[in-house]
Amino acid sequence: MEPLLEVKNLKVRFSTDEGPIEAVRDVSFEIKRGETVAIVGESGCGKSVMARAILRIVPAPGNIVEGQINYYRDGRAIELTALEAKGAEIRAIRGADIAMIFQEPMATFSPVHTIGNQINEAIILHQSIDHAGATAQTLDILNRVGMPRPSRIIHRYPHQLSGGMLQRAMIAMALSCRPQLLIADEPTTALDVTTQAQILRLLYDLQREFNMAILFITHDLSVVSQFADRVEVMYLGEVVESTDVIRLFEDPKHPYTRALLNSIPQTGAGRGQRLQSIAGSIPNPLHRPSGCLFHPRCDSFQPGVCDLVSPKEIDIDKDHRARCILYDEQYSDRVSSAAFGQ
Amino acid sequence: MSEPKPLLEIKNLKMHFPIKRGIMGRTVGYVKAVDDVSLTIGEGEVVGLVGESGCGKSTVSRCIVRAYRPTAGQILLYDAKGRAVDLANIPEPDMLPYRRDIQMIFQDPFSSLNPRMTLRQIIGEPMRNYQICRGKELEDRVAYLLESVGLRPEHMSRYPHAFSGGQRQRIGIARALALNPRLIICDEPVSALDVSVQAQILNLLRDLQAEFRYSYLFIAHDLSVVDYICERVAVMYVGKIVETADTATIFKDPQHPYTAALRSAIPQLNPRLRQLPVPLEGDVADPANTPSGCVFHPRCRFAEDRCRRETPAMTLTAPRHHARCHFAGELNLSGLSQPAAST
Amino acid sequence: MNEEALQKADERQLTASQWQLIWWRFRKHRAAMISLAVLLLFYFVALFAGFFAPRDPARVDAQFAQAPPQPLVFLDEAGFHFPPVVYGYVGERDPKTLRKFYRVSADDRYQLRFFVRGDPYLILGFIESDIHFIGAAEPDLPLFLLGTDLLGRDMLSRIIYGGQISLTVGLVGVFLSLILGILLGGVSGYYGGWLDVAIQRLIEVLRSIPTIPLWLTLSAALPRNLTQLQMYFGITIILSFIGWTEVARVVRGKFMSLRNEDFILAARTIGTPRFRIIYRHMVPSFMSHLIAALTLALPIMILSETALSFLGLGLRPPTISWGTLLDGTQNLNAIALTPWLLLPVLPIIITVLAFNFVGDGLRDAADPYA
Repeated sequence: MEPLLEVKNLKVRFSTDEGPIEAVRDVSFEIKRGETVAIVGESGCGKSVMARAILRIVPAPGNIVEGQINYYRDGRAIELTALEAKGAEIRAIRGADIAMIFQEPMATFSPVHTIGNQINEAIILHQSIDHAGATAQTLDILNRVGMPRPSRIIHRYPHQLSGGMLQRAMIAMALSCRPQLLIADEPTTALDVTTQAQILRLLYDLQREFNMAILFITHDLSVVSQFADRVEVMYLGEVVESTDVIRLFEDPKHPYTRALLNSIPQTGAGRGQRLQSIAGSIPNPLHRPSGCLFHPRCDSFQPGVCDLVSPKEIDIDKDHRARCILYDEQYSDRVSSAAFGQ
Repeated sequence: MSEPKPLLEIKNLKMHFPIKRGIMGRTVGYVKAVDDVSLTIGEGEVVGLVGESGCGKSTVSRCIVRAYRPTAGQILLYDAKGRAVDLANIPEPDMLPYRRDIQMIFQDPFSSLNPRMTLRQIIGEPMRNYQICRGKELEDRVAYLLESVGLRPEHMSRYPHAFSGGQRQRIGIARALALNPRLIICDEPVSALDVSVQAQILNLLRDLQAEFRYSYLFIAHDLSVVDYICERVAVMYVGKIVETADTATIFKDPQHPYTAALRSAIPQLNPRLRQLPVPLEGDVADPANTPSGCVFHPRCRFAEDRCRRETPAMTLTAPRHHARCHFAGELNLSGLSQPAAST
Repeated sequence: MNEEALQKADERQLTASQWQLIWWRFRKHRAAMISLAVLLLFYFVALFAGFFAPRDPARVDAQFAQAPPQPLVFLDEAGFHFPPVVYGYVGERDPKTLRKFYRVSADDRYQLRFFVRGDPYLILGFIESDIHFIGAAEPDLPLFLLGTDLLGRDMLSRIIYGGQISLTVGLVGVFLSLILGILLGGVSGYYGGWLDVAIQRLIEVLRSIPTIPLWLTLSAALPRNLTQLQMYFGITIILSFIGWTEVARVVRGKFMSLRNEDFILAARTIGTPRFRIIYRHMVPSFMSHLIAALTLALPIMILSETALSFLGLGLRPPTISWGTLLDGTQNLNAIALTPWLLLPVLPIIITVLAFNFVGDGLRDAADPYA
């Protein structure tokens, strides 16, 4: 299948008073049409910055300093990184081709306009359509996202809706122009589990219906396992492992992925076995560790290698890459077999 | 399993917050945050209290530490000889001797530590308050506490801003341990933390409990966390406890439809078991305007006429297993807890 | 070694208290740092006014009334001078109006010296001295670097002495506002209930009275026969009469939001007494914000004193303040003929601007944990 979006060696840097922070460094991946790619990682791993870089809405003082993002429309590549960040071209793509939904729906909607007006406006902005037509479309899309009684909801203000309903309204607004790619930045993190289940199901059904690709950003591996086709695991701005969802959960290669999977409590496991925790905490991005970024917390740490060498992304298998020297033939003689663990 | 001696017994606790309107502050209604909650925590027992946001689980914990004065009900704290004192009804200054026995660990490791105090001051403060020790002795005790939660004693002069979320949570735990309490209320202690540090804190809490036999009231919205740490679980929905049972039972054999729904809403960590079930439609009821009869009936797929009219009572369905449902023990909830694959 | 230095710097950062963090942030604010230095200089000069003023501010030299400023001369045809020299005055009479006026003339030149003996004064109010920072070699030579007023008193000395009052009247006023505001705002925010309602209504009433007429009324109510010191305190009380309401509001709001903070509940659960919660946990949490707010309130107080005194309703001569010095400029003719009488406006502008910059810097630095 042809790619829809392609990210190549992207680097985003924030220049702060304390020094430069590379929120995203050397990240490459692609999204095919209709596919769901999950970017999973903990706080500070750069997953949200990554998503914003695609729409060219990286907040100041952040800048894309290297790399390329290509969006394919009708077989033609548009280099998003070459567009003017505030220009007309990228604005035409935002919303119409690539839409985004956020963790906090409250922050996306303006509190002083009704839900209906805000969705109408998004539709009118991207289509040549009159107000009545836009309203008809708004009602239709609200219906499709399972909003109860849309004809009444369009006259409501954001604060009058519950978290789950607002999330539905935001999804409706994002889908109003039938985007090819939906970027969902932690769309269910602020929701309760039962509401989360509703929203995940909704996104899944809408994706089939609209045949769109989803870039799903989350910290929650269990959501990833239920939702994604491919997974990019990020740690401190780098993709450490990248593969399809089955292999990620059944045969994780990078020590970070393995440790993360072992540290999640699961229902039904009970109090019997002890969770394996990852030592230490996520380093301050201003003081990145030398060598492999994960080495101070890694249980496969190889002294003299991991703390000195920045690992390259290694192709372990077809469509399975990991950024770890354990899989780098160059260092195979210096790695003890015990390091492979589990 | 034998019943442990009770340590804290909550009886028919109610916490209704008045809704005030206008300049004169006229009361126009009540938010029934906690409505008739009864729960017993035994000596050395770890009890989980789970529910979705707004179900009142945090309000229960804050009533126990008397952040609020409950509207009605009793909170009985038993001493070693089995004598009880009702914390719900004593005046604030008289709480002081009992506060030592009940400590709290907070959800947000950033707002729960005073940023203007060093670790020495933060962890030493409870011991100062009760004049347990001072000077060098106090310092030694703070060092010991820091070590027992996995922090380095030489960092005692640092301020909280020097620490990451997980480390701050450890500081909060050390502060809670300082008075050697009997009951520790853990109010969502890991839900604000990164996945990779959650396990550290859960293991720490488990180890401390195993070593010192503290009782925990463990409040969480995450069933898998509760499953990992608790012996017994109470499930709350809109101010009421709907089911209590031993952890192993409640996940295998839930008796309340809400518990079953909550259980199946958790995504499994297995991409081959893809279901994306929607166990519950609609939103959680508004505690200021609760439905008639059973509070869960508008979302319950088994609801009948009786559920709309009569408020169900807590019924015993098996030993140590209670559910607040008219049809407890009669429903087949397996379709909910093991949903059919849909994709 | 580099690693070690880095670690040391880190440790300093990690064990830094609130005030250190605020100071490090404040230091990055260049305008605020310059302003702070200027203010410190002003206060230092005002503190040792007797030393820095070339003359006794009350000394009248009737023969040099309304003399213009004498520029300091470092370099002239006679070469380089350090300490500088000044040129003497030549008295002339306007042929039309027959008014006597003075002109600075290079014919008469005399040397200045540092640390010369001159008019006697008291250091800090009790040590006798007659050493002045700068002065003419002989004490009776006319030295008026900023000119003289209508009676022939040295403007420079009067401005320096005026700073003593004008720079402190605001400070004392702000301090009184602070005490009143914290007390009443704290009571209002911590206890709530009818006390809160009563205090809030009082604040609203006070704030709805137009300030200028209120001040006028209050100062008119001050007895005429007060000593200079009593008058001074009377004015500060009037100034803080409105000032405290703002502080009380800030404090009340902070108390209300802090009451619901987790760390305050935590302090209660570990058995911290109520009073200790207030002074150990709550007050330090908003002190820095309050100081920033007060720094921004200070210039208003200084301007208010000036305005009151200018109108003749605040301090009155012989008390010297920047406001009373401007008293003589109420008449347009005086400004046209003796524009140097307006010079006290300069230190007022500089002080007000500097306080504003410092206040801005403090406000930005006030919450180092944000």
